[in-house]
Amino acid sequence: MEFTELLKIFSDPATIDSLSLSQRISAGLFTTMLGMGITFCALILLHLLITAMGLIEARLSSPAVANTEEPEQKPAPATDETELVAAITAALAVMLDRPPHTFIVKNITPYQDASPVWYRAGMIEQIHNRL
Amino acid sequence: MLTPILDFLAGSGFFGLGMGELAMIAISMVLLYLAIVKGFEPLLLVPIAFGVLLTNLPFAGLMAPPIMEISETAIHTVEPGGLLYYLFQGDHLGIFPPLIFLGVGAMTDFGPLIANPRSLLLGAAAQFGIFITFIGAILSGLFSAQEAASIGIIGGADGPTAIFLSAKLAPHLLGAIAIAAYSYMALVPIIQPPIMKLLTNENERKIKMAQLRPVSKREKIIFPIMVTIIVSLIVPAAATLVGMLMLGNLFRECGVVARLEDTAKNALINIITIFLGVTIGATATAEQFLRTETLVILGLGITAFAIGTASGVLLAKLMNLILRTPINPLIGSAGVSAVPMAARVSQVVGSKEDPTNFLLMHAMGPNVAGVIGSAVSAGVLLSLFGR
Repeated sequence: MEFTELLKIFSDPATIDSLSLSQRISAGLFTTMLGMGITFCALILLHLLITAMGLIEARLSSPAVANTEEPEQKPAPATDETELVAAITAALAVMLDRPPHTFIVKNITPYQDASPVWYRAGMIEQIHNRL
Repeated sequence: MLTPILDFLAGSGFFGLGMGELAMIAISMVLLYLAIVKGFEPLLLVPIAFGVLLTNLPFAGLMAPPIMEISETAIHTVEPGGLLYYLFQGDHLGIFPPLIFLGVGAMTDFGPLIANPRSLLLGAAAQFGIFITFIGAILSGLFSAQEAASIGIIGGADGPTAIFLSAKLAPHLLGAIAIAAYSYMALVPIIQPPIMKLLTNENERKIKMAQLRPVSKREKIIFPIMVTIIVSLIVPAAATLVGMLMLGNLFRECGVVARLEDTAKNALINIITIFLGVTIGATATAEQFLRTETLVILGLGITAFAIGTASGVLLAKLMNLILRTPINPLIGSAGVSAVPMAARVSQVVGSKEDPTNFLLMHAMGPNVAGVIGSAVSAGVLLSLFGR
């Protein structure tokens, strides 16, 4: 008996009883092979595509990383800092509530802040509340 | 004067209460006990058990179909059906399980699978349980191919998939299959560990796996679209389940439809779970449920789980013979879907051997792959035996 014919009889509840035990087993095994075969094929194909996607992603993201690093390395001091000093002095004057000529700014060093972003956000909010 | 009282009594539920109904009400009490006191999948077992209770109350007619009258020109409803009959149409027509999948997709992070695509093979291997049980059910001589396929899918350990398939292939077995599937999913922490320990040695259980690579947002967005296209092209019958699963996942990952994601994974899935649970329970009427077949289904269901677990572990061991970077075979058992219970079992069994070994995220890969795998297998069975 052809497999397609066997499967046809097998899949009809009215005719399945006419099959012998060995025919049922072979139809069952055929279903298993087909089912597991298709399941594996589908998932192996997905495996290959995901792996390919990962490789493409790695290639796409690596130049991007290099790009983001470059601007950080550019030396900033080339610009005129007098404006920055003036701005900081003005800000200090406002916060200290004293005229700018009553104090002298001698040194400005960037503050290395390792605290989390939310901490800073909270600090800024507090400052706003007090203004 | 006595006649009206007797008439009332004859119309009351007590009069129609047979041994079958009493037994089913007792079963619903056991299920309620397991759900409420023992905490076995309570979100599903409570509605299911209450559905069993409601449907076995005599004369209440909650699952009664409407009585229609066909005249020459039109069809009239003489008497409307029961509430649960109408809600059941959501199961019968295959509407509820895909909607559950929409919510599951919105809750699932496929990142571990994308980071380690080998997990897909383990997810596929665990589907052996479905087909071996299918052969077992055929050999028992009690079931047709459609019924055997619906019983086998219990081994997929995926409730919605089991309901979706059996509603289409063998609706009369729906109650028994759903109850078996959900009970065994709750029993995964008891069924799986002995099999996992039997098939692995101490050194294998101690294997530590490299940390998973970070997965970009772009990959996570492309993944659901890719899976939908590929799986639907290979097995069109699986498109409904996989499509909805992946739509939910796209909601989650694309980041621009937070409101839809929120509805899918909270409100919608909860509403559907109530309807699905109570109507599935309601299919377990005394005459449908109290049969030898139910016991055979329960027996075959646990076999399906065991074989699925074993084949996942065995494939992982086989892959270790070929691969340079070994994988811990304990994650293979997570290939039976039962998200995230099966992955947690892998973690627990692994950490018993070595408390510093964290397998959970590695096991989530095969775990979510199992969901896709069982949906594909269900699609194959549906296209082979669907009418």
